[in-house]
Amino acid sequence: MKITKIIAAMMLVLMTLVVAGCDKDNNQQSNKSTNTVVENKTEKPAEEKIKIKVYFPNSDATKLVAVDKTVKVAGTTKYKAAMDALMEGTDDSKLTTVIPKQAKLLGVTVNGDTAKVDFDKGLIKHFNGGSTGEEFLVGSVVNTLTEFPEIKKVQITIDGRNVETLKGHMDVSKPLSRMDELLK
Amino acid sequence: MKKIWCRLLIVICCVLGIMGTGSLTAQAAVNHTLNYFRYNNFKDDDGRSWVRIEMGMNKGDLEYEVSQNPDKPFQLIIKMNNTNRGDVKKNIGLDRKIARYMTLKNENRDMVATIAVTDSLEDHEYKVYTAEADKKAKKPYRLVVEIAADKGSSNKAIGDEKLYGVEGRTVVIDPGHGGSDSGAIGPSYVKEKNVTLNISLDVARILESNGVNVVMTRTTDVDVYGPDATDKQELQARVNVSRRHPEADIFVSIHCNAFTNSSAHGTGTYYYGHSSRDSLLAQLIQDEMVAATGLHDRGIHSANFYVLRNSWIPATLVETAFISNPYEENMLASAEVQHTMALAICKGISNYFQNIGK
Repeated sequence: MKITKIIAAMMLVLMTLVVAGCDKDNNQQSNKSTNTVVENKTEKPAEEKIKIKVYFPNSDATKLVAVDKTVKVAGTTKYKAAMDALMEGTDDSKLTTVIPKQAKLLGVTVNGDTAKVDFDKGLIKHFNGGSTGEEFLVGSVVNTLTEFPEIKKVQITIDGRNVETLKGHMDVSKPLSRMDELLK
Repeated sequence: MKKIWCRLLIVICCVLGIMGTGSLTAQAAVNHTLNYFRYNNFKDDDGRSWVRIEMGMNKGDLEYEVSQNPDKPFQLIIKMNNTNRGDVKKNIGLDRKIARYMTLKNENRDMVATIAVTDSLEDHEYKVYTAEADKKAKKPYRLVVEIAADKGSSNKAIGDEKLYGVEGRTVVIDPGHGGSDSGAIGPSYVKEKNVTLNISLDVARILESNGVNVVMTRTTDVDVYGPDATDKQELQARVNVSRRHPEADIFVSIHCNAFTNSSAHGTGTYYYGHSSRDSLLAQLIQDEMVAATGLHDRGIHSANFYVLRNSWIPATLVETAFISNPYEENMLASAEVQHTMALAICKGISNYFQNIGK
């Protein structure tokens, strides 16, 4: 009994170390991770997973709600993984998938403390708009990405270009800071 | 005994009352004689020019009808029942600036006065009324016709459309979207651009009738910059309309809200917050909108909206209701609700000007 407990404790310590490692650098597939998988006797190749928060508006669009998700970051950045999770939408009837399903994410790049999120035209074409709609679409993207402490601002672009607004209300021509006012 | 006397008194009173009314009717049937005529030009308190025509009678209680001949838009026709022409000419020249001449013609037992104005009567405000005899001015009981040089205050605000503290102010009204940009579209295909234009035109009419100088970014279904301009060009064009009018006091943009989920509902107002006046304007309009429509109060929000952030004057954006919500879409499509909303926005504007003072 004692031996099993010790092994379990060691495993926990090891896993904590691994998770900490992942947070520091998700782009690289660390050997540690692979080792852990082997130790866990999983036959599949390594897949790094991280816990993130994505934001969806509630159904009446009065606030943004954080939803915990665990995403794989193998072969991608954690930023793109977070955006993919956001664009996947939600099945929760109390929440709303605000980014149109037809919109395509073309990429997420980070420069300094600013993340640039590039969508295709589908985002504008298939979005009905409204001040509230725009506020919460933009807010869900900005707040999901600024959940990473190193990201302070988010710039939304369409087909690689800066745009003034999505549907004629909110000014998105410049990088936007976290929209805490939508969380209340 | 007393009771019987009381009843008798009541009966007598009633009979007298009926006789009284009867005698009035009888009096109206008695012939009037037109025996006095004067006209003069005058200016009213607003400095507008008028011509006043006075036709005096031998007795009061004249019955008359005022009409226009659709084939002769330059003429105002007044029929005086049971009236004869006395010591007054058939054809009378008038001031010639507002009214050219008047002719008097007997038709059966009535007298028809035809007043020819210098241009279409539609462009003139006019009043017809009777005035009691004025012994001091040596004027008999008379029929008075007043015609203004313009139609000016014929659309003066009355009733619940009367606003305070707005006269002489300049307000920019921005009907959201338009032309190639339909704005949000409701589940029954009601288009935001049409609703916002209807409400805005009504707002403009009410404000103008209260002496407000209204500047519109658009008055028809068009893009303000031009068809298929960039968002920046289009939004900046709206801001520029306001900037071209340095006398403008406030900027009010009128929109319909929308959300991906049709359950989102209510009315809300946005501001950017250059100064406390932005939020004051937003709050006062929001209060009136909630009170008038009974819609859910979403409150006021500061937001980084292009037309608000780039405005040099206090600015607000009213999200009247959710066009994406079937119930509210129905409301927005109703002319009655549109008017209710327009009036509420005007009252909010009036409250704002009263609040900030001169």
